[in-house]
Amino acid sequence: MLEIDNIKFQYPEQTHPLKFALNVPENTALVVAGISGSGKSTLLNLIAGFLHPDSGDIRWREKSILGLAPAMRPISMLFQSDNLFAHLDVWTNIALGVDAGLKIDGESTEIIAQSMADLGIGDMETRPIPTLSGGQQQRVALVRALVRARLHAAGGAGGGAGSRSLLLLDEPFSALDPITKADCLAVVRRMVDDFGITAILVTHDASDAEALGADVFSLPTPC
Amino acid sequence: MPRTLAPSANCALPATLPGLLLVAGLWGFLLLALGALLGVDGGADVAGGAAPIATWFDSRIFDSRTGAILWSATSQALLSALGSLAVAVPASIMLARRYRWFGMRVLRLLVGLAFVIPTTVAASGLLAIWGRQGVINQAIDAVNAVVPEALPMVALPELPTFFGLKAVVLAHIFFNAPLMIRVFLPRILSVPDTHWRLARMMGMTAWQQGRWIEFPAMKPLILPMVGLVFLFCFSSFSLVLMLGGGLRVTTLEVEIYSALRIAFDLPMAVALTLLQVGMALGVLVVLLRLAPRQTSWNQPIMTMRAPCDDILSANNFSLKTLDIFMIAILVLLLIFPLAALAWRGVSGDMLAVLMSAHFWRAMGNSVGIAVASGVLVVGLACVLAETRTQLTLRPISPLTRGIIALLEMGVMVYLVVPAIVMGTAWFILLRGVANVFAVAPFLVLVANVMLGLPVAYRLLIGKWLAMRGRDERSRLAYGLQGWNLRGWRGVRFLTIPLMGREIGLIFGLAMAMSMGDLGVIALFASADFTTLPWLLYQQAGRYRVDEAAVTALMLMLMVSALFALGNGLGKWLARPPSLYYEAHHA
Repeated sequence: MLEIDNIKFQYPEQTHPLKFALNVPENTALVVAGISGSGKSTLLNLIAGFLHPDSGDIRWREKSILGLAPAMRPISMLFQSDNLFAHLDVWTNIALGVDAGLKIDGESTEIIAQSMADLGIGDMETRPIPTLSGGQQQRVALVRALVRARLHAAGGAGGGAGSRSLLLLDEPFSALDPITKADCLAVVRRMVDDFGITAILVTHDASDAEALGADVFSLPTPC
Repeated sequence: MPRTLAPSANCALPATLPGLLLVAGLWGFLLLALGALLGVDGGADVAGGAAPIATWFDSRIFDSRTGAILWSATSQALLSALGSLAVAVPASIMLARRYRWFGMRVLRLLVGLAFVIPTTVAASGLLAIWGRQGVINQAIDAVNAVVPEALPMVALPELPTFFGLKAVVLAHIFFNAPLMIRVFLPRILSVPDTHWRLARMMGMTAWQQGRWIEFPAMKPLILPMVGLVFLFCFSSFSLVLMLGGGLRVTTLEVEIYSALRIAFDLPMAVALTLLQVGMALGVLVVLLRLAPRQTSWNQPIMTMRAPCDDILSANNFSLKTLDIFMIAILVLLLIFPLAALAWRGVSGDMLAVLMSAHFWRAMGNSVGIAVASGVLVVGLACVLAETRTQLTLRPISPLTRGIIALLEMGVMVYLVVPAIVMGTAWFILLRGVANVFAVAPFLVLVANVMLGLPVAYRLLIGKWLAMRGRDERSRLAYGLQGWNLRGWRGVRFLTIPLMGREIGLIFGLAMAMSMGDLGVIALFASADFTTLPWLLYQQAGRYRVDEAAVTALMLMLMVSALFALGNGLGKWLARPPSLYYEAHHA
């Protein structure tokens, strides 16, 4: 369970703080919908640790994660664009999610290969990023998130972070054409159903919830 | 009568005619100079009588002395380029990481200052720190004075003389590290926010972040910048003249100057000049090869903004220490020499300098030439940019394409043909016709215009093409004669408000560059005609350290004032105009 416990956050230029309170059960998908300025991305950035709340608490499996650096939190995040380093190939981009120093052991290599095959990009290891379509790029980023979730699932070498099974999606598919978008949402659904991922998708398009088969949490319009 | 989208030949001709004449003039000027150089006979000292150029060129160029010059210039330029890189890469990373720190504004401003500081001032500043009578030696003397005589082993040794390779390289780093930072920093700042967040999510250390994010952002520009700085340092004149020494640290430019002014060996000067032109063209070809294939590298970066603090992870103790160390290096390299100079200047014998008529004559000459040069550069750059725009609007044909290439190359060629080379050519051309020293002010003015024009044109052309092109296209497409915004009113209400800032900038820059230039003046200076940089060079050369410090300070103040004047004018020009008053007074 991810518990967002009465978080308050205020940007310096705003007059009213943003408030969030919700619970996300593990191994489910949730769609967070709201208009621009309602704080959708802010919510994800707070969970990821890129922003720090003024008050309240965020707990994962009953333990507060507020004091942890982003790398120590159980998360992987996908952004709208630039999720991959364009000067590196597909495999290196995924491997960076395992270890930023690229020290990859045999077990991790296997998990990467397995995950690429599972999500249907098994033959792309050495493809340069600029040759991939937008949908393929987001799929590579999803594979990276899957690898990060599987890597420490057995409670192995992960250190403090444990399994990074919380997937934060900050409108990563909104620039894609409808068919590719549906494909990507299906991939996310599979990650939830088959691999124990908990996904939070932020979107301004409420129909995404239907495609993903997820509950919708609507953020109130800011005053 | 149907409206046509393309301007008819008749109506566009007057718009491009002055520009085309100007382009022809630029090329004619260059070819005339080259012809003058090639036309010089070897003199009676080789084989008696007028020898064909090939004979004496060979005999003069292919000897060990030329080899020594080239070796000296090459090794010095390579050291300077790599030294600048070694400062600029970590400095750019640090400046990006600490972008929001309050001191960064000041630091960035000072990095930008290196573009207008005259070479003579920088050299004096470096001497004021590292020189024999510099701040460091004074400190050492002070320490030694309090050390009891019974303890001679505690006494600190004084710094040896500063002149030579280390001085030239340090001075080149002073100017070129900021140039590189100016290019690298925007590349790092234009890295998408997402990548910084990914770095945090993946737990990258500062080193890993440098390897995966910052270095790749700079990488495509590293070789071209090293090449460019190498070219600058290889053909450096004033800094090598002031700080180098003898054959061990020299460049072709300095040797041309000494052949012409000190040894009075005209054929030698010509031979070296031709060699320099050849080398410059060679380096230029290599440089163009080095330029990244994709064109994005020289386009302005629009999305530049500072990343948020919390995604940069700068609050780590060792990283803070490292950055403070880097800031200290920048301060020591860039700010210390100027501060020492200012202190020396203020505490020096200001009255003696300011009372001298010689100083004020030089100041008057310099300011007069700077203002004239600024006006001419702005005028010519605008004419060239407008011509380029008009040509772009024409239907594309091999002819227009050829003219555009001629125009761009005609301007840029003056970047690689050093002023000394052109100066030597005019020296030869005018030798028989007029008293060279009588027309010296005009020659210096022309040289300074040629110096400023390529820079001004580059700064102007991108926006000019975009703005004027848009205006002209809409005028052609909609037939906006009804707007009545052609001619002077068009300039007043469309061009000046949009381009005012750039015009002010190039005006200030051209004046500052001209004011501080120590180039062809070295060839044409005489008892009757000096400029402030030349006066400073002479004072420094005679070890009049205090006088030199005052002159350098005054020169620096004047350069800053002229640059600020240009920028202020730019702001004034760019203020939004209104037709309101015109309509109400009509």
